[in-house]
Amino acid sequence: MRMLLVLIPCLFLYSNVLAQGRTVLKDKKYREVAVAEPSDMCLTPSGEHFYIVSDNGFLVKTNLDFQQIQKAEKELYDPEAVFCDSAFIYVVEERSRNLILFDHISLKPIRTLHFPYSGGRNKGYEAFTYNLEKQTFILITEREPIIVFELDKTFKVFNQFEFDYRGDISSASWYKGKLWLLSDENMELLRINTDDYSIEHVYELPVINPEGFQIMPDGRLIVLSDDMQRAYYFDFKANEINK
Amino acid sequence: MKSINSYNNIFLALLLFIGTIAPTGAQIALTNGPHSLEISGRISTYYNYRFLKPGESNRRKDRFSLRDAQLQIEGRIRNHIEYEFQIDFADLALDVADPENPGLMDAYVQYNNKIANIRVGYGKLPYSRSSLVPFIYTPYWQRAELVRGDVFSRRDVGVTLSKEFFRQLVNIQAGVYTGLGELSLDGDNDPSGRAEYIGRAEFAWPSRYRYRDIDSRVSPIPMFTAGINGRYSNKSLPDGTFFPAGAGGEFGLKVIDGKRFIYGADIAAQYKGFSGQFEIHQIRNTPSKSSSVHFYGLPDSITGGYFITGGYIVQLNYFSKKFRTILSSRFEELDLNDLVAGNSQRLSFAAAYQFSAFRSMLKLQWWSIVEEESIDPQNWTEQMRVGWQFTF
Repeated sequence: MRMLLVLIPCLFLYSNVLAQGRTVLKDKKYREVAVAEPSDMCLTPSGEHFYIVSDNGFLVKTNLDFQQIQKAEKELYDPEAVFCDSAFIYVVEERSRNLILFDHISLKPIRTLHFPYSGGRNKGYEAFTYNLEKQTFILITEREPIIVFELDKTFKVFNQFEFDYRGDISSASWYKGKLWLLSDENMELLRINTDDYSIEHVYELPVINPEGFQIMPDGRLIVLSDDMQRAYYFDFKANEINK
Repeated sequence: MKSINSYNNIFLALLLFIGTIAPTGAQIALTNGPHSLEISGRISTYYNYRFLKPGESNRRKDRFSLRDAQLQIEGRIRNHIEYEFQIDFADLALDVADPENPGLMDAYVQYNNKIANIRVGYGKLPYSRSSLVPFIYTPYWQRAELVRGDVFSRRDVGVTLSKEFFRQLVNIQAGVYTGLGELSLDGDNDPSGRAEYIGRAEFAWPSRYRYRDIDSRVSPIPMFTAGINGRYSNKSLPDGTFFPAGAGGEFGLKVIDGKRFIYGADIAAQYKGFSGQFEIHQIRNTPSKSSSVHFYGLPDSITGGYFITGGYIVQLNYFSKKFRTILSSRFEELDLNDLVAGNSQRLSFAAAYQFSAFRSMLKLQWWSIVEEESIDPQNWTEQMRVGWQFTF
């Protein structure tokens, strides 16, 4: 009986001590974001603008100082993820379970696809990106459980699996051959090995309510805070991926 | 020796059981284009034990109790309409609604627009931060006496307007309600036919502050919020008429034949898992008749035609994310009537272990009566409650 009483706390400690490598990032500066309740961001293919979606139901294009320069007319229902490539802007609505493809120039919707999923409020789709290595789109649910859906180029789901992580996922991105995931609840950025989707490294972020991020071509990390309506900048050079 | 082995077996069985109770898929949503409907619920059961005063023998409160058997339906239509319906089947069987935990918990529709959000129906009143914190986000099994719904109502039928400003740092709410609180669901108003008016203003810094007691996200920067609120009702009854049975609540104070002006303030802060709350309320009760029972036969020259009810709550909490554990302590003071000597004081400790965040949690609360008010005597000195809260 006494051994068990000692063993139980030790087990809890053990499970935490054996966590992945960790780095605590310190923010250098921040900018105010001229978009209310920003929930995700991505850099345009030209590298000159950002696309940002807002919980208030819209998609905007901003300059690199986060000033709004264009707004899509379409009303959105709880957009939580935005990703873009040279062809389209991809916006995921958590509530309607829709993936909407927008035109880069007009910001008008071109195509809407529906992905039924029964998770409750704040448990639907939250992140969307493209796995360059596997040539697949990735759609991820927020929590309970975190499910990763792999989609082919025709947006057909051909694989899904549960991602083992105690927390939530609020955004996803691809950078230098790795998948990067952001956790709002845990305020962590995760570097993921795409072979087995294991967590290689954890970066702790001192940011309240981080909902979106972008690793810039020069290696700077920008994290978007929904509650603070700010973009925080971190020193995050390319060599970080070798840690 | 045998008994030790059997204890070990029970302990091992309990450990295995604990490992299986973290929910993996909670809540269900149905979507139909711009209309989404979400279904969730919760079940919580506890065991209560009281340490009685010497000479007391009634042990009816030593029992298992099903506190919650709730079903919640929340819907949204486009970005403009929200609705919610929440029912607690565990409390529907009660003859008199428990104001802390009533059978019908929410039934409202809200229209969101740029000027102000308009909520119509039955639900929580915008008064008292502690009352507005959802029960599942606390480690306690019972709210403080002051905000349990026996001193002032927590729910009512009416219309609430709300508006947020400056990155949701400022939140203003105001509304008009029947004024009978949870008893409003019975149908008619009281014979005065008058309403209750309630308003609340909150300020938060440096970001919006949700109605939570525990810093479950372990805030990396200090966060702070402060609120003020007030409510007024004039329920002076015509001669020969009475309030509906039970309208006054446990202390006969929730509505009085006369005027009630309630005002209060609260502050809360959190940082790196530590959090604290302070809340204070004062009620100026002005009965319309000098023969009111609340004056205890005292002359006008002493009462001045009114009496004060009031109290405060102080709560300190710590959340360890690593150990999934919440520790909390709470001190509360309540003076039901300043014309009567003394007031009541209670001290509580709570601990909770999270199997799966707040969704599946083992909760333990212990509380002790430090002081007792003469008009609210109890037959116990300490009480302990332990149970499991599960949300699906």
